[in-house]
Amino acid sequence: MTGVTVRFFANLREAAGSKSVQVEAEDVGSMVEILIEKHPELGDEMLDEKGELKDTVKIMVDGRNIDFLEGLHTKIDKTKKVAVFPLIAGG
Amino acid sequence: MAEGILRVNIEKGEISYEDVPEDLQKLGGRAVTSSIVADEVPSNCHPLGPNNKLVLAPGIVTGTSAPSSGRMSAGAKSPLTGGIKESNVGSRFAQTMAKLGLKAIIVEGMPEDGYKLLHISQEDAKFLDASKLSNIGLYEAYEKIHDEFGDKVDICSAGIAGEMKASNAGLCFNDIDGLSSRYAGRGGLGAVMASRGLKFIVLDGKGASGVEIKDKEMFERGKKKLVKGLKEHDVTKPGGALSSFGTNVLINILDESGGLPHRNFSAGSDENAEKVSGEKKADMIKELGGVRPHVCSPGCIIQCSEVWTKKGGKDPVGVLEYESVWALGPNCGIYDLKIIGELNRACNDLGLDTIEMGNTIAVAMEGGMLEFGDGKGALKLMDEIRKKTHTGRLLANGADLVGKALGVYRVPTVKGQSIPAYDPRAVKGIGTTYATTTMGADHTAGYTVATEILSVGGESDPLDPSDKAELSKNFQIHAGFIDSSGYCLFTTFATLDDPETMEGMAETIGGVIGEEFTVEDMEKMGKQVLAIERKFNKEAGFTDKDDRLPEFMREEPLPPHNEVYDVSDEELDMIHED
Ligand code: SF4
Repeated sequence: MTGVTVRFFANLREAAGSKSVQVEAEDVGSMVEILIEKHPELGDEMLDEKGELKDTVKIMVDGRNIDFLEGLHTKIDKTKKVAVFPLIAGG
Repeated sequence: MAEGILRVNIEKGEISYEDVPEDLQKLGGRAVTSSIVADEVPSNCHPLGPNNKLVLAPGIVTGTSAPSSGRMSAGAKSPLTGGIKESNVGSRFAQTMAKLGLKAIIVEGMPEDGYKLLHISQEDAKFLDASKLSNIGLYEAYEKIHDEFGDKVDICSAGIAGEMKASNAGLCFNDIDGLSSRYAGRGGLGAVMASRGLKFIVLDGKGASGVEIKDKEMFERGKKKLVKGLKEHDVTKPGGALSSFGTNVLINILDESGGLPHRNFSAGSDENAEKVSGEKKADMIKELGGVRPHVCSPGCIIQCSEVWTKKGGKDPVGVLEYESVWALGPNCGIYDLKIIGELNRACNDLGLDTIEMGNTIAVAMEGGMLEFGDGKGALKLMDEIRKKTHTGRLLANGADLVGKALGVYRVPTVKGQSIPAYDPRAVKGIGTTYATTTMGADHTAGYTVATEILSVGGESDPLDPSDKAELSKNFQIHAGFIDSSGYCLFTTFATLDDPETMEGMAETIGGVIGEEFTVEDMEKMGKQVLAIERKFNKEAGFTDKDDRLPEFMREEPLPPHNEVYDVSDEELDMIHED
């Protein structure tokens, strides 16, 4: 089974060392754990002192913020597009 | 000596200073321009006729040491929308104007022909002949003006599009390097200025006395909190997203959210978006020799700006904003930053608003004038405008006119003004702002995107229509205040997330006006501005029917979410009920 492609944006690209990586995971929570295991630099960027996902990190699955889906329990598979953003803005 | 309100009338050859009326003394920016326009401009007048007036006003704290406050407003009855217009811009011009003690400049009258340059210094204000500076591009004109009057002067101008009295003629201001790159672009105010016989306003700030701060202690207290908040918030802090990537960092996130309009609002995402993203642009600026970060005006902590150039730092354009990159890029099916840079330079040079121009080209593409993606063809259209051909004149009048001329159904405008870079079907709060603001489609008039997409100031599902009327209403009220304050809209990212930063902002206002000013007073000011503007538009003939999005947005689902805009008419009409 090929994994889900996770794409990174803005400052998170540097931490991840690339624009995208493949991860085998069933939901967003386990995806985050695997990502940080593989790329420890992402830990500082994505997790707070308690080891929880920072408010300032936004994860989208198929263009929907996971806060409006099932949060970290949102299911993912290789057909889904996953994107991870730091807090950004513009206008 | 420059002070108070400067009123100029080229037709009568008159220049006079007036005392600031009491009701305007504690206001600034949009509150001043909209009040003067509402008082002095008949709502039913022709925007290009003798009764319209152009009003410029710096914000309340503009010209002080408050951070990110080099903003000002330009107002008039809009040739594009037929309603009241406030267009906001960041430029050192705003700060110099405030330091010269000018609460407002009112430009009136309609001379038969010829163009003047209005030169203002601490000593006097005078009209000079501008014929040699007319019918040339603004980059060249600004160089000539700096050669003649010194490189420290600040400039406001109407370009070739203004000379054509085109509805998409913006007002152009200088950036800190003197480039003709900062715009109060929206609504055709360049045509209003040019039809008053005025092409340039040049400010010489030498010896200016500065802005009086009535309660210095309150001001400094507030400033300290505001600076702290801006320096700590992830979005606004030095080295944060805005200073690293510029506003164009939004391309990827909006595309990912399915809300970045491609090919004249026919899709909400496209795999090519990355090619014109903020991340890509930041890399290219390094390669090409441009500058990032940069500022529109001195004293900005956030520093969202940049200087985009050709290779070797040649032909500097100034900033390529998110809105401009989108309008002239993905919205036209163009995914090449170099072409987008050239199109943006042409807009700056001719005195055109990039959002309206990009939408106009996209509608022309939809109408068969050229193919989507044809960047070279788009540049040729800009040449038509430069040559003032009939086609060029049509194009310089915006998407609505071109849509009608070419029989296009999918014309993305509200009150005649083109929709910016967020599709209302995927970001329903901003669609609600486009529909109901007095300005015609304008994202800055109520930037709900902050909450819907960026999770600033709370969260709201962008696809859920149920809370959007309330959300938009609150953002519209806040925009009415921010545009009057002189603060950049981007300060909002920090103030909305931290009450102390917001309080600091209020205290800086209080410090300048010399009386207590609270967060509640911000809301009061915002509401007052909206009420003045609504009244003007109502008298100009606008009704609820004008507070609607184009029909195709309720009819055609937008991929990838396949949503239509479904906030009900009743909810839209509730926004301005009070
Ligand atoms: S954030 Fe950008 S637009 Fe706002 S004041 Fe600073 S440089 Fe100007």
